[in-house]
Amino acid sequence: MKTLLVVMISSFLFPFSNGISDGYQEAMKKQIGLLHQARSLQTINEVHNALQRISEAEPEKWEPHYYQAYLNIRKMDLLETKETKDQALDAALVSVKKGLSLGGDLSELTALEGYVHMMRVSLDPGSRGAEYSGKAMGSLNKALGINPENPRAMALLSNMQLGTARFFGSDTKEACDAAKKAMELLEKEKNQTDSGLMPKWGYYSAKYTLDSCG
Amino acid sequence: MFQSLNYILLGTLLVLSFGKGNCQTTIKGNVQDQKGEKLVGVNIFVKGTYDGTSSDMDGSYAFQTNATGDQFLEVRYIGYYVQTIPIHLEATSVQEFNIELKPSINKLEAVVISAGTFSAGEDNNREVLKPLDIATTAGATADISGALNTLPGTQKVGETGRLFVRGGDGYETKTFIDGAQVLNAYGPSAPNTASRNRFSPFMFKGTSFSTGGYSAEYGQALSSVLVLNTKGVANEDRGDISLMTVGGSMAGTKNWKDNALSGKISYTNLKPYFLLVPQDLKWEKAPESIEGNVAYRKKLKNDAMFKVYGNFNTAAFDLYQKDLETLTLDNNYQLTNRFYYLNASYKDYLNAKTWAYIGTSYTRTEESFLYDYTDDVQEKEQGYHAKFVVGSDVNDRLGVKGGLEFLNRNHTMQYRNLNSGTTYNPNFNENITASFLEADYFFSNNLVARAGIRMEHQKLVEAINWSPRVSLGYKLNAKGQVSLAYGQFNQSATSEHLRINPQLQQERANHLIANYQHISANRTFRVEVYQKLYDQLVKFSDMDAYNATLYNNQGTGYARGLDLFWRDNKTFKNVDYWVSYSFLDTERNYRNYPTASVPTFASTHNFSIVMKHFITDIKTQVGASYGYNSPRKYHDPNKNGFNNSETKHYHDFSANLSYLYKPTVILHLSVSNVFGLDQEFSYQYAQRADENGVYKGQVVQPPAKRFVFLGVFITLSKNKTLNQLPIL
Repeated sequence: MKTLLVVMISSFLFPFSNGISDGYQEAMKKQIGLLHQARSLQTINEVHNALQRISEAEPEKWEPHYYQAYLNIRKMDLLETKETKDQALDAALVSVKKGLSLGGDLSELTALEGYVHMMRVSLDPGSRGAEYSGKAMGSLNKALGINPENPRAMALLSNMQLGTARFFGSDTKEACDAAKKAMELLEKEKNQTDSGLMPKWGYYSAKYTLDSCG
Repeated sequence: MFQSLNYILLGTLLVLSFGKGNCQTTIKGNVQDQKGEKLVGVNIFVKGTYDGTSSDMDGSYAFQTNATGDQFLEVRYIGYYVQTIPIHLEATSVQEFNIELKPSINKLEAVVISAGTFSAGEDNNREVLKPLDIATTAGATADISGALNTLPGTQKVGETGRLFVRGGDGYETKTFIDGAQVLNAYGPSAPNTASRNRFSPFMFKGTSFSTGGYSAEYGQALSSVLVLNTKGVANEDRGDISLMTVGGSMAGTKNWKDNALSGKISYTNLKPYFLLVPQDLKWEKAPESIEGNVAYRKKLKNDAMFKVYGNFNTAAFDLYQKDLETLTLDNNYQLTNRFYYLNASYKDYLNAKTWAYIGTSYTRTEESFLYDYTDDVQEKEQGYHAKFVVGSDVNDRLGVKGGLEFLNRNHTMQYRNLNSGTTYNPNFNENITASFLEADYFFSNNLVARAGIRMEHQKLVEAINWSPRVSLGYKLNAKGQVSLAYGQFNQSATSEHLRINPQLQQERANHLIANYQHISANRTFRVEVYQKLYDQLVKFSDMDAYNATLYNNQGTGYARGLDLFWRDNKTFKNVDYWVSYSFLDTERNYRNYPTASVPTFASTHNFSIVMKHFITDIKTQVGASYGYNSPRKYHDPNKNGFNNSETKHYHDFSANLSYLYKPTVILHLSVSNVFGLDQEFSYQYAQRADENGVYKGQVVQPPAKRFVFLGVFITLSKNKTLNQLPIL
């Protein structure tokens, strides 16, 4: 009798509490939708916590870690002190590493790692520029080496190239070309079908560069 | 019984299937810390499900879950221990949990023991100096020791270029690479000219420099340790070419998936420079050296790392220096020096909490010199160091490590007088077995204690030395902390003494240090007071420095002082500067001193300021440094007493410029003693008085007023922003 009950309960409850793997897709899509709307520290934190819950329940999935890292980078404009910003970047790197250890998309995660290094530079260009811009370029080039069609890596690369060109007062053509390429890749990506959980951002990064291209 | 239960369950399931929400369990409550402060943004969820929420502005939370039965409620918040509460969920119930979180011991935010230690690394944002700083300090010419000489607690002793720390002699500072020791860390130099540390900052990613009170892991150093860590696996392949007024170098790094190989070869020849800039010494053959560096590292499973580092250097020169009796340039001095260093280490994480390290190093130095075509000396020294360490974080409060070490030093000297045929061949072979045990305990995030003990057995004299070391750190607030350290340190006699009398005991020093440190985002303030007591220092008689029976261990000494450090890269935009001041009160009675006196290398007041300013518009980093040392003592045999005279005040103003011509090309210019001030290090006197009973002497000073260095650094890489700025 007891066994029967358990079977009954399980079968009925399956779509709800244990149906995580099926619900994973849906839950992630919901959070990905929310994270693009999140504008305040509080809402970013809420999405981050929700993603953390998902990653706890789904120890094999890399996507929740990817987006947790991404959210920590997004905090840069909202946090106040350099220390808390560095802490958020530290947390982002931990999530990237975790994502990599779960066999996540190498190109996307490496691009995000490059993004973290770029943010380190922006916090203190004078003393970090030399060291971290090298690291950032290293990661972005590596990401593009693995997947030359990664629009995010291309967009971030265009940002880096723009910064370098501005610094040396040299031609921004290289940066602009990369930004255009990133836009094309984003367009191409729209027409592709994937799991629905793959990152799609990059438009604003590419646009930032293009805005300076006239 | 079963019937009714069945009905309830069935009812539940029906509702579950059709309705939404009514059958869920509501979990609510609030979260606060131990002080009753409400915590916002805490993640509260039923473990293993997606059900949960973040706490609100007032610390309250509420959410619904479909989970039933025995579950765990998990509460997570950065900086606090994760709390897991067993719960039993019944459908349609409302359960309330008010949660109090305990702050976790966070190694990033927790107090650290800072007494005596300056560390420079890439990983920790709280470091006092970055590796970059070591390389870009004006006047240091990318020499590690030169840059560390701008920190408090060090003494500028221009005629040696070595690190003299807190009243300690130059030999009292030991260098370690990836945990294993280096014998003879300085390259050869002509008499009274500065030698350079053999290791270029380019090969290392982290540097820790301790001016006292260091861990029981480090032995055979009375005053100070310099710990260098080689780089890990990088992302980018690169090649570097440098062309300088004093030579050139080529370097390259090749990376594979989880391993990397770096190499660097340099050639230095000062001849062209000496033709342009006249020197006080007469060079028959200007210093010429070839240096090779190789580093290989491989990352293995679970972050385990295997590293090999090798360094090879050969240097030679031939010069005439002043004969002190005739004061003419006619004492010939020829030297060749070969140095080999090989280091291999392996660190593995046995599990999440325990790691093991095996490191080994081998050093070999061969030096031959010929003094005035008469005294021929061949010196060979080789030694190895093998070290095994196991460390474990027993829990988040207690960490322990213990190790076993073997140190060997084998030294031979062959002296031959080419005129008389007299020979003299002193030597020794020293073996030391050492072990240490050390524990760190965090009473809270604000209080940490470290206790360690080191035991060394020196085979030559069959003596055992115990060195206890303890330290405490207490965090006063988010930015300020105080530390205290006490320790006993032992070091074998230097080779030049031990080869004459291998029965000498180890020298000994006791350190007592109190430190206050205040670090905010872009500013650091440190003040440290210390007292050091020496005993068992080697003494010998001036009458016959080669007579073993005149050697003993009865020397003593003391040093006490105050060190101040201030660094700020916030007040002025794009300007980074640091200021150091050291007050030193020291006397010692060692070596051939007839009485306790201030040693010749010590200055009472030492001040330095280093400034770096990046001017974006002209893509140039401008650096400047000023150093001051109060007069040093020297011994003038024409006067009564010992160490009875004083040099002039020492001032040095150095400047450098790094211009980023292109992202991959840098032009670098540096000039020491820009204003050409007269600098005196010491005075030297003839052994014998002349016919009038006067000991003739001369000042010891830099062989040229200024040192000018010009270089072009080119980086070859797919990555167009990589350049060599970090190593300048």
